[in-house]
Amino acid sequence: MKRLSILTIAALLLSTSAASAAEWTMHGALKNETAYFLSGEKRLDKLQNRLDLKPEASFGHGWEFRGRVLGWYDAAMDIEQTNATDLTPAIKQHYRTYLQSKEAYLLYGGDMFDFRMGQQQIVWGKTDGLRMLDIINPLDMREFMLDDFLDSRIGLWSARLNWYADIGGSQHEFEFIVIPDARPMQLAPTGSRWAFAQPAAPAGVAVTLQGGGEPSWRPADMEAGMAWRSNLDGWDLSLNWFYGWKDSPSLQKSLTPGLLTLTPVYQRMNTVGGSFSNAFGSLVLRGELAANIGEGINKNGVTPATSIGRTTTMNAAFGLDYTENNWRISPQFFIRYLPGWDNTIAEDQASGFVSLMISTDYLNEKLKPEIIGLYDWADGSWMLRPKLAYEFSDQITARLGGDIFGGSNGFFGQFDKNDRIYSELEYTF
Amino acid sequence: MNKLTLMMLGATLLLAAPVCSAEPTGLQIMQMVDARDDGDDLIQHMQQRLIDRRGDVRAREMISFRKDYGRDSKSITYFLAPSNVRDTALLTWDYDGVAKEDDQWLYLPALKKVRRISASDRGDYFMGTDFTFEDIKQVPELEDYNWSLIGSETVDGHDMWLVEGEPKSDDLKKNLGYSKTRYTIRKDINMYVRVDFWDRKGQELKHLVSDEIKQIDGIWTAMRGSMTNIQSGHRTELEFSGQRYNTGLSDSTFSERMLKRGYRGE
Repeated sequence: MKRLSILTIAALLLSTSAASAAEWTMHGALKNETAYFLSGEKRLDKLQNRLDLKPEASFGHGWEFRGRVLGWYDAAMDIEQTNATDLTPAIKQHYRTYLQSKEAYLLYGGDMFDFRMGQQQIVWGKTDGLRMLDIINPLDMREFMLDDFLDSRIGLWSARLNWYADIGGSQHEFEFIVIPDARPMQLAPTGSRWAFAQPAAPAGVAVTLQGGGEPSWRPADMEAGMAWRSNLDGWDLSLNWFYGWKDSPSLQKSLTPGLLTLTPVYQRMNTVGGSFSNAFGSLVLRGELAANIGEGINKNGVTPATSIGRTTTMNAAFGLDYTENNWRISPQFFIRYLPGWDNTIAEDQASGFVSLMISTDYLNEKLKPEIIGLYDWADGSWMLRPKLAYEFSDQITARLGGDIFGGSNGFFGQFDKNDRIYSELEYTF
Repeated sequence: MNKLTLMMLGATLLLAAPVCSAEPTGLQIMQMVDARDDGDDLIQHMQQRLIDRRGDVRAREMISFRKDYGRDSKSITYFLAPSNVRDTALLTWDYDGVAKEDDQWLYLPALKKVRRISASDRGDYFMGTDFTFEDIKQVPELEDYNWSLIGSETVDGHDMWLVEGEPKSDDLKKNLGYSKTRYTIRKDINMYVRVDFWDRKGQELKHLVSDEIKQIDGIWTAMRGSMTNIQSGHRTELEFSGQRYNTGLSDSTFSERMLKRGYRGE
């Protein structure tokens, strides 16, 4: 965190000194997010006041700086009485304040290439709501996956070259990425309301979680990727390769009498895949394919050697966007398949999700209702997210919504006691 | 009426007949509108005001680029302000005729993604304006309508044709959202100055008025326009400025790359 802050400031200073005659602009938003738990123990989940700043500069001759800083204070950590007894001081501090640079990079736009260097969010893929090829930036999961990806993606310090070429009468894009700043997903702290459930332990056995080695800013931990994109015969196509770390750890187990020790283990993997989209009348067909080669997985054993492993997983997603009379309906289907599965592996051979998004708008897009449903067909759990947004003016937008979880356990069901309603009031400038 | 008067009337009618038959058809007039010189490419700024029936105003600022490729064209429009739509951008590859559907992509900064969008539901309204995706094309697909010249009139000293277009099928009426359109076209420059639209049920829906038409680089250009929805009381006012024609825009201007990069000046 300290290193990142220093790098961000250094980038800003460099940008500033590089061209004092630069044209600087500042956009951003002030936003209040208030959420209240409706199930389990009814209580205030958050009362956040956010400041989102997007400084930009244009230095001329193709050089630009683009940045984004997000910070907030969550008063619920101090106001909500139950937090005093249910949450540790460290958890409260984790949620109370936040100040991070999300992006801070220099962009050089040439005739045939763009070069970006600095802290970036690099987004691949065509799916919404769930990530398959969008794996480059890890997520901050402090609020499970309820935050917008733009806010929950952790910006990584990286260099990216996008080279554009006219080959055979078609435009082709080649992307090259190097990331020295390898980092894993930030999970919600153990004991917090959005922490993932830990593996069940045998009766009479206590569970403890100990720290594990995380990938970080070391030459040996560096990540790299390449992509190709083009539009061929009406199809938007991409091929992608990424050599990096799986964002979430496998949990290595060690069972001693009366104690199960869990150690997070981060493992490298290769992701090879691609994406496609095309329009057919009122329908847009889109999808992604990704093979994770050497992906770290959890196994059923309780010794370090038998509790984790590596395998190849095949992942695919298909989505449709149907637009008619100002209504948009988008179903998606995700599948994950382990060709080398055996019964020592602690997940089903096939698993996945279906999702459905329905939205429309009224009053010339002032009023926008939307509902998103996600269903984990492997464990039967689900999440429903209705939302209503109203634009009072160019600057002020209000939103009301809910996050409702179903299922006794599983990916969504583990948060069954976290059903909540929320309101947002945003001022953009 | 004396004999001389009758002879003169007869001669007038005889002379008038060939004049009437020389009047172009509705389709021919629309083809002339379509073929009007609007430059090989164009850059222009747009100020947009969305005004609801209570008078509440939302203002937007955009810049658009267009380039012709024979009878096809490509365009890209960037939203520059306000902040909540800034960097949203629409790329359209507009193919002439109805044999091939247009290609459209929308960049949504909140997702950091370029989305392929369907260009078939042309009756969908664009970004909260009173313009549908079909309306933001300069000239509709001529093959979609049966065109009829219904008359002529003089407005503000300019001779005008009145041309009505009726979608050729019920499916097209449903898709476009209109049962009829009426174009008021200046005869001297083959440019429409007003368009009236009727909804699918035949009720008058909205009208577009182009104002302050003048020549820029020798090309007739409307500097202002407004689309008023009579049924909802909502109005979209447009003001165009900074037009530059025939600057030789490169093909790469109309690409996914530029959608993602956004517009930060030239």
